[in-house]
Amino acid sequence: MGHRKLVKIPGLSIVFLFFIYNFTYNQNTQSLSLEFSLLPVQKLFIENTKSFPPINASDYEANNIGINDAVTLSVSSNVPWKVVIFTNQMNLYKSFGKYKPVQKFQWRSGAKSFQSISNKPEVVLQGEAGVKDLKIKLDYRLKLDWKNTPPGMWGFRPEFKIERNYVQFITPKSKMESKTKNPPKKSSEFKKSPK
Amino acid sequence: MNKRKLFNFLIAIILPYYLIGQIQLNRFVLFFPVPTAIDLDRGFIESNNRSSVSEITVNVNNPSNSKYNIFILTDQPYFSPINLNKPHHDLLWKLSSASESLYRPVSLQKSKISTGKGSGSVDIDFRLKLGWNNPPANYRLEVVFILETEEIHIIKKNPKPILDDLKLH
Repeated sequence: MGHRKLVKIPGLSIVFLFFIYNFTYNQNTQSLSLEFSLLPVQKLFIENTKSFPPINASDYEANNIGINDAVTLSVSSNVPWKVVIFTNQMNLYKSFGKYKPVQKFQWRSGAKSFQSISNKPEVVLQGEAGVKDLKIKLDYRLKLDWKNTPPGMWGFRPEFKIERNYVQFITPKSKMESKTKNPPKKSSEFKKSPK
Repeated sequence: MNKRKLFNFLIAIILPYYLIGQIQLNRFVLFFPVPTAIDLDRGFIESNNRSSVSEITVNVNNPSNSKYNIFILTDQPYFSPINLNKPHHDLLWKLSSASESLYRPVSLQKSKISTGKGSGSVDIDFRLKLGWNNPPANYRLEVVFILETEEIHIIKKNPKPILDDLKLH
């Protein structure tokens, strides 16, 4: 009798385990986890450029020659961004023993005033994340004078760079307040993000 | 309970489980390639972006040889991290053999992928809608494949009548 019991217990255990195995592994559902890592992505390219026309006497009299929409940039970014302009050159050209410094080359974006290009990157425009093919148009101007602008061929290509902007805009409280109490300040309009 | 009854009882429990169809995936996690500016301009990225081989194969092992349906769904309305509000329907699927125009969004309800009989397998391609407005993060969504088989008929539906056999003799 005792011998029979010993045979029955392993037998039932096998059946029980088989039952559990089937119950556990005979699943008719399966899960799939889909994952992807999106990194900061930025894109900047020059869409269009215009050349300066030949300089004549009236341009010298006006002390400058300019072209509107001299360059069109296209910006895409999934993070806050800023586009900067700079040059690594010191001079536009040299002629008759005179250098034409790069500072005589000026640029502006939108309705802003012209400013000289330099070796230090200057912000052309900045914005929030989530822009696609945003167009930025820049006007160029070359300062002229009879004394310091000798004849000569010159070619100049300002450099542009898109960077991640770690500076966030602060929403102004109201227009009335900003006019009376807080006149717009260039530096205090921005605040560094906690990051 | 005598031995025969016990045997029948165990068979009645075990056999249906043995005949239940199983669904298996060739992997449990699918990593999409890291999206580039080209992908963001195009508006999507595909699971088999960098190769022509399908990434996901759904295998069905159905010993009962009955008809089956495979479904797909998700129970997550948004990709994680959920605070980025990337909706589940930005994930699209299609059979690898189907044309590009047949991508369909993954739904919170069951969508039928394939129908078959016996055992078999289907290859699935995934496409992920992306844009420049998606902030950088590690995104994740879980989808579930469900196999539904028809009722298992252990006994033949139309057994040969014994009387017919007798008539022939």
